[in-house]
Amino acid sequence: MIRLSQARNKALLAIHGWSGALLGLLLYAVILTGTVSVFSHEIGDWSAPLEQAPQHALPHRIDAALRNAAQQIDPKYLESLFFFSDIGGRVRAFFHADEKDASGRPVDRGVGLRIHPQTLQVLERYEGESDAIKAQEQHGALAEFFVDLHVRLHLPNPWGLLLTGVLGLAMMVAAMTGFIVHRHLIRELFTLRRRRDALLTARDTHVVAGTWNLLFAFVLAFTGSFFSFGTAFGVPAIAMVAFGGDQERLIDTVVGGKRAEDARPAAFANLDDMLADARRRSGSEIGFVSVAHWGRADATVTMTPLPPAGRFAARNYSYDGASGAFLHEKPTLGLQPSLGSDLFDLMGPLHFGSFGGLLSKAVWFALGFAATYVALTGMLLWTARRAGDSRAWRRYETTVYWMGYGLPLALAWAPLGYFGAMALGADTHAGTNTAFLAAVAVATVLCGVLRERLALRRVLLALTGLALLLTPLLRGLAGGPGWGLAFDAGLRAVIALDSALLIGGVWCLRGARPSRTTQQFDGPRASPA
Amino acid sequence: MSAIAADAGARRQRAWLRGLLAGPVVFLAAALVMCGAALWLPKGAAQIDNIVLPIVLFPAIWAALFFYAMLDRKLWRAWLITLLLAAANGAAIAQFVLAQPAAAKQGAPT
Amino acid sequence: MNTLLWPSLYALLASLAPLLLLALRDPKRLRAQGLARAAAHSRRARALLGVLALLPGLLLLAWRDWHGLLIWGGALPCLGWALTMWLSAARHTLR
Repeated sequence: MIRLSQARNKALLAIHGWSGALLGLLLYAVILTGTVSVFSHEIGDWSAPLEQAPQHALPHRIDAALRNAAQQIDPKYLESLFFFSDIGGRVRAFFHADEKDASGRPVDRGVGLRIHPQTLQVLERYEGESDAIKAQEQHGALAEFFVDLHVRLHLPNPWGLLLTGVLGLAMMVAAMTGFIVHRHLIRELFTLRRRRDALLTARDTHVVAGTWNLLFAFVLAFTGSFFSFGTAFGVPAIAMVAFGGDQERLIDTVVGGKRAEDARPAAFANLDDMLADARRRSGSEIGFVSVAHWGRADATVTMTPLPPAGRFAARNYSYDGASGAFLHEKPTLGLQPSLGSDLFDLMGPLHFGSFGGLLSKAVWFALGFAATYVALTGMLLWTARRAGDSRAWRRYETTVYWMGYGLPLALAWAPLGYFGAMALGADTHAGTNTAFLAAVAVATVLCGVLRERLALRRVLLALTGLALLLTPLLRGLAGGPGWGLAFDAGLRAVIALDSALLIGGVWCLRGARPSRTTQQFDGPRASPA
Repeated sequence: MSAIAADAGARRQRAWLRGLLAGPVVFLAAALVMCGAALWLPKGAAQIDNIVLPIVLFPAIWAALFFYAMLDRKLWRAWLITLLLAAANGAAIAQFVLAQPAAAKQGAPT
Repeated sequence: MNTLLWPSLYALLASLAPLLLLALRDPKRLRAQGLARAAAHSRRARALLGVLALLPGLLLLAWRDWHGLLIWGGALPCLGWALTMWLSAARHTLR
């Protein structure tokens, strides 16, 4: 494709290989958990459904519930409020104030509510810092676990975000170098040689998957790096330079629309009327609302509708919170359309794949699966070529198997822990974490006991398959709705995910059976590591 | 024999220098370009492009510098250009930051 | 399903046929699988099929159907990869 000198080609191939070898294990974890997280919303709806099908839009009559709540909380937490439709359709509302903890780190502290979307009853109430509130919530534990593992590998901020940002850059490098060094990209698009040398098969397997996935890999890596570095590094760095370290001022400048302060008390206008007006203006349901300075003369309500069909983002609508009067509409960032705001609006849809509902999510899931496959086959190819060289490389090869087949096992066990804890009335966060770590431990022990790689792969796949098949059963035992009830209530996510788990379980068990193809795929030697 | 050993040593040294450049030096340079761009990029109609675009495009800035650092045949030139870019943006940042107290004294908006 | 997404599915179907033809008579694949007796496509035929496979995407681009373009652009590589994996596992050719 691109003609380079042999030396340059060799250098780029070395970059490609070594970036994958050094960071591939963690990158594989980020990609795999990202693939699962495409359906984080559906996982939440499946793991903690209400009696009715969830809506993504906010209920039309929410004013009374929020007004009642506002009267019962500490007035200092009326500084900010946001609410949106969350897991199972529950309305998540957070009244909070921006404070600083003992170490000077900015934190959001306040009162979190979960409101039933139909009855508008407050189902749950929590008080404290936003992170502590999340840790107390039981029904969001599973979806949050997968997303958090993907976004920051469960490491504390900012280190987790910085690490996933670096991994995103590494993925970009791997995609670009792979594109440059592969001389016959188009010519070998459909070529996967299975009948000759196993190493050649391994190479073709990786190259074919990588070639087809190339563009998506680049887009995903770019947008992923932006999300990680943007908050952990970009905003603080530019705030330091151009805003004297004041990140809040940077954000106010970029978002735009902040009004002059007026702390005089004032009655708060009817939210339902403002919601109705915003729906009329936008032609769309409202997805997210933020309120600044509830109960003051300078109260501002900003409504973000769900993106209209065919668009990636909706314009925001701002209202005077005291009078309910419409102030202006604006893009996501700034007060006027801009290249910056347009690019920013693109990042989310390109990364999450949620712009076209279930269809786009399904495509993004498939692409994520392909990217995971590329990462794993790349590491297997790298180690297959070197495992004969030294003990260190053979150990690394075992580690690749541990991560490559152990992580899916651990991810499959996590819901078992979640539903198990739910059935026992225990903390679902602890249950999920414990099951995940237990699976990691099992995989580690098996890596030590089973020296033969193919046997290790088969056992890990079989255990994964069993876990997937057991999960719908355990979900039912934990009090989740059966398929009949789910069908009547329109709880599509319950039936869909149960079905997907059953199909996935059968597929894993089939993959665990010994076959000649498996032997070829896993490298030239079927000998112990 | 000693010439071969010396050549291998020189190549190893070059590899380390290339790795140092493409790793931490390029990352730092990309960060300085990102922050500096907030000062010299046009603000655009909404007056925010100079802040948003560098953050959104940081991965591209880094990738461009990384591949340049890895592929320029002349290592000294790669170092020079990377350091010049970093220095130029660093100087712009320093000038802006140092001007802030003076601007505040005169009542000018920051 | 959102009715605005149907164009992406039609585009995908329209791209699938030339993609299948490209794969079935790909010269390198036929050679690698020992199926050289079958007539591989000429370079010109491959170029034409390639253009036909990409044309639906260009139409989506021209219509500014961004959602459709992304879905088509994402699904087509997945299908191409799946096709390659499937063809590699068996001896497939057009005689």
